Amino acid sequence: MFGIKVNNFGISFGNMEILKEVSFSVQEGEIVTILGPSGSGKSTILRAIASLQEKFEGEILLNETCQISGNQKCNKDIGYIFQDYALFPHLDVKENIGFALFNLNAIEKQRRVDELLKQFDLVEHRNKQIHELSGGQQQRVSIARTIAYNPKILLLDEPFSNLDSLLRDKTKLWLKDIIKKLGLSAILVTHDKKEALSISDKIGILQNKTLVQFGTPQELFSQPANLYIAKFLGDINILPQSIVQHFGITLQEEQSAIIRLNKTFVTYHPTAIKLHIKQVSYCGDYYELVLNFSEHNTFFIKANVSSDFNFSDNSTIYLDICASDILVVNT
Amino acid sequence: MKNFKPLNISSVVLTLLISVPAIIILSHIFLGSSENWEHLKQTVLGDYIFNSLYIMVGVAFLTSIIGFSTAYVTTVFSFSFSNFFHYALILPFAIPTYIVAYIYGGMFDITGTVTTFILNLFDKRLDEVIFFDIMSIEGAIIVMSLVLYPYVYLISKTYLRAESASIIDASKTLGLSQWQIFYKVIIPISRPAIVAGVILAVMEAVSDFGVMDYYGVATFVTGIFRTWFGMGSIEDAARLASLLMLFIFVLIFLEKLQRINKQYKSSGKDFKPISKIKLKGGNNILAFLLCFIPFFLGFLLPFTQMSYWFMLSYHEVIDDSFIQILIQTLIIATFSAFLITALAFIFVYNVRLSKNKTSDILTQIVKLGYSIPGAVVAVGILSFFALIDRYIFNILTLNILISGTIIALIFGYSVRFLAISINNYESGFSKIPSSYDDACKTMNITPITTLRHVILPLIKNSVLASFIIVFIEVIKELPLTLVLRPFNYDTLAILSHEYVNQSQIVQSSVPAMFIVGLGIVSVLILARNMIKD
Repeated sequence: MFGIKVNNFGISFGNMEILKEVSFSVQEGEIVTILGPSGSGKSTILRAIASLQEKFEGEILLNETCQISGNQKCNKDIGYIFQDYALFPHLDVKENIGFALFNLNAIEKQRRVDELLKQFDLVEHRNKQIHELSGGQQQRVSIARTIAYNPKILLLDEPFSNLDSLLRDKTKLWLKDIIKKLGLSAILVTHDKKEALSISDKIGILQNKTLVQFGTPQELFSQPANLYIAKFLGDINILPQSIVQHFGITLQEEQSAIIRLNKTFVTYHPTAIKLHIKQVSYCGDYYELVLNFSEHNTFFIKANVSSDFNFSDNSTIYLDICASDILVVNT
Repeated sequence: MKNFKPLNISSVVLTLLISVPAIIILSHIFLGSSENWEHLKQTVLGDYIFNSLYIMVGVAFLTSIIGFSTAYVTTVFSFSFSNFFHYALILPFAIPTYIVAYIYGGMFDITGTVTTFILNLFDKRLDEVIFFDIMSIEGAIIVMSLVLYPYVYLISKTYLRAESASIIDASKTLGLSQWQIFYKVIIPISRPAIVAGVILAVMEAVSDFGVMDYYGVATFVTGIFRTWFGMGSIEDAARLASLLMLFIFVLIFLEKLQRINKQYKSSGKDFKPISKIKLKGGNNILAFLLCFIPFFLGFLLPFTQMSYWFMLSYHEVIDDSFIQILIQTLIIATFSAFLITALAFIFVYNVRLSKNKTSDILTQIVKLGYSIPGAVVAVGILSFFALIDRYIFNILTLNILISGTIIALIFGYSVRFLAISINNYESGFSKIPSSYDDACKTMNITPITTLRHVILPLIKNSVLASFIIVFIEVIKELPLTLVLRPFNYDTLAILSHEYVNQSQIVQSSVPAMFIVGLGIVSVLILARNMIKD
């Protein structure tokens, strides 16, 4: 079984601690995403797994037996897709793909390269130089070059960051399909929540130098461990105490009540929560509203509004939310 | 790859070896006084210091004016032949300063060709006219500035092209005239670039031997030669060299400080090309003249005069012994360039692979060699090799001497020119992302295979450029060759210098022509890099 186990991983550069006590595991055939903002140390984890990073704390186990450190060579089953693709500009497409096949004879190498060119829809580009390819094609060459030597685990460092949004969505689905078809395990790092949610079997979120939550996308979305994760994974509204008490919810200190934007509605049909509009901004999919709950209680909310609603006719509106959609999270 | 030990060890050993001459020279600062030294202090040391400072101030003044004004005009305006001047203004780099000095001496001294022509034309004698003697410290300053202004030109131009477009646009919208933009905005923001260029020019001027020796100006460098050859005291020559080295290190420190404080960077993220203003009428002629005069005086005039003299004398100069000297020069330049290019690769590749501060510091130490004047390096090496001859070979009872051999000469070139080669590689390597090495490592490719199949093919242009530039620098180098060459071993630079010493200025143009021809190749490589960038 080809999985990876990261136990209490930590790393510092000089006196600066970058990561501490990061633990997670990747089962065979799983796609795991490490999600975090830029500079949070996501790529460092990948580099350590690929033996590109020396001197870290904790242990990384490949296939339950092989312990990875900067000096050990148990990374022959690991393939790494770089953010800039790291394609060699002096070699053409077929030479790049065949670059790592140094232990095959010429005929075998040729056969393997042809197979990959076909599989990755690159046959017509086989003799092109790298600079003649589009971003998406370059990425396919990069993945083909890595897949060529049959790694069991794929490490992907921000693989879609150099693609435009249309191509990104297409490539995301294609890549997920390839990984699943080949039965690979994969670790992907990104700062893009949509990418993470759509491609991953499991997601780990980095906050304050450590992994604060690890689970399926659905678990993370519906039961975020804290307010940071809730915000990070999607648009939310933080509801004031005066609103949530209508639903019988009492907040402890260091707790917040939140509701996702897609569960937040305002209406002109009377409900229990009557509000006065102070300010309205149209934002396309939703509205931003500054509302008065009582004379001294003003709060900001993003809400969905039915298309027939006319703000100019109404200074009073009603909040239309369900108690079951309110989440209480630690701040 | 990170533990690629042979590279680490080689870098440390080479750095130690290359630093030894400088360390030996610097150690002379702490030596007690001698009779000769006291004599030097009481007689000529004051002149050496005053003249060196005078040359520094003069060259700084002239190079900053010529270099910056031409950089500004060719960057901001479009005028007749402006594209030609864009590259032509760096051509003075092609002629070694000492050769320009010989030519100007031959043209403008008391019996010079131009002086005689003008006197004959107006039927006057020398004492009847106001005559500026080129063979003076002021003459030396003018000649050096005409050859060295491209330092300021190149650095200022690069800076202006990268930084000034949005600033000029903003100034225009604020209602500033073109002249106000120049002196209220452009000059203040360009100050770091001007100072960086001036410091390089001044360092070169203060290290010069050929010009000062020929024009009879007493500076530290000519003093080192006189103390050594005249007084026969290598100890005191080394002591003088140590003072000059301190001088140079202060300049290097100032240059580094200048770079740290280079804070006048525009806030714009992207490069925005300058939309050039087209000049017409009088302004067009003024801009043309502003660029033509330095190009004419720094390159065209000396080159034309040299070509004329070459045509007059080549048949009498080029004989079997000349061919032998030419071959000798080419052989030593080829071998030195090959060795230096290989050694430089060790340093730069070690920095790339080890990614630690130590290897970076080692490279920086080795790069200091280029800023040490050739005469100082030569004295340092002689002292070092004399120690080896006296103690190590003597103790081992080996009956050999390495002072005055080709080994000493090549070692000298290595100390002096490794920096050029390293700079070339650094610029080449900066274009190869480190993810290429990482990609090879994750694909289990060995360091040797990575080097052969990825790094070398990508760096081959830098290797070639480095080889050519070092090859040409070796051919041009005068003081170091003069001191360290084996007995009766001449190069083209030495031959040119010897002709001049025998007042055969016309004949000196023949070896000079070969040197300048190669110098032009070096400038073309520089121009090609400018076009690429």
